[in-house]
Amino acid sequence: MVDKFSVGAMVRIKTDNPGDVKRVPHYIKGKVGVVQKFRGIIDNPRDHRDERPPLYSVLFSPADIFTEKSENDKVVVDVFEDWMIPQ
Amino acid sequence: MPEPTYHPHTHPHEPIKEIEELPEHVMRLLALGQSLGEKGITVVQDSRFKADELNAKGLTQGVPYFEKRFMAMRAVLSGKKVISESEWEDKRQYLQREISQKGGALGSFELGVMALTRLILKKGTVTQSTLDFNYEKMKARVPMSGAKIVAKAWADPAFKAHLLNNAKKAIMDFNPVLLEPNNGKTIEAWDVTHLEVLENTEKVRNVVVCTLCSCYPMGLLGQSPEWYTKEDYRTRIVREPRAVLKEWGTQVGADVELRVYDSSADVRYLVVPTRPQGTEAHSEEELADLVTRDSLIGVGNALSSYGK
Repeated sequence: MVDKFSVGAMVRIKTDNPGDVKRVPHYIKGKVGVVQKFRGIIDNPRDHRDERPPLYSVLFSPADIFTEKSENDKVVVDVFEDWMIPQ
Repeated sequence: MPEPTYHPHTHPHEPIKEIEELPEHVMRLLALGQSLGEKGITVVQDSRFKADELNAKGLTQGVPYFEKRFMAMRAVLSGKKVISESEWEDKRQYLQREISQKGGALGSFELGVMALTRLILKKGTVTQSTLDFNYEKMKARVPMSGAKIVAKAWADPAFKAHLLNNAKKAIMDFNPVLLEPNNGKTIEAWDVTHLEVLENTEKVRNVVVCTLCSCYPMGLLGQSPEWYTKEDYRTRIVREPRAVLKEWGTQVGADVELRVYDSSADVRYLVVPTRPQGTEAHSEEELADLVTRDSLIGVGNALSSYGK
């Protein structure tokens, strides 16, 4: 399995759902983050019935997402590949 | 009915040993859900969507967490025509009469779980032995498992390095019972989700949340505390983590980077808190007693002493 985005790459999260039921938290939609880790495809038949794209761990700065000033804080979210656009 | 006034964090960072077990009927409910899941009848996703649906209709307002899950489970089951809501209601009333004739009494949630279990067994959807097996498995999932892993990581740097690099493998090598309490005969969500262990240091503090639902490393920590599942925590901890922690009595220095990890169905996180000072001579068992559930989620610290 090849990762489309490498660690350290900047990515923007789409605002519209590219699939049917795959979810991402609202607060990162349209925002830019940095890829931290490639997790690959996770086969999880007990949780979801559908097959899913590879998953990446992406780091965001709340200072970019929210209006609150919090420069020393970070948020890490696991995002499916089809939600990500190269930045 | 308005939602009761709710304080997100009512426990003062209680030690692992003092965390109360969930009531018997809640364990029975979890075992039932697990057994139905193994049959492919209710996958977690279905229940989650059903719960959202009930919530959107305003049907679960003010309803306690496990009762909400119970409602969602019944909705999935009647949607799939496994049992109907009226069958269940009839059974519940029947049981109520039966029990009160014997001079007993049960709460309505308890009765409801019993009624659903009886119906499912009668229909042969799951067997008593599967149910019993899963009941034992649920009971074996306790936060002490997480505390033992942290104590080992504090005491053994090589284990800690392995744990941070490949958590499930490291735990399997250390004590497989912690990961699979009953040497699970079946594959379930917890067996296949990624587990990542995050180390707190003087420079970095990690905090775990699930903003979309309430994903939690239940194989190692048991069922999540109620505040973890509440909207208040789930929305605020990503926006203003420092303020939330401060309210809960956890000070984070301005020079410390605060990392909030948003869990998902596929990835779960466990925090290794910083080791309290003055514990160099402690045994692993004594160290485990210092761990609090809150410290494993990252919102609290380990205790500096316990007992003595």
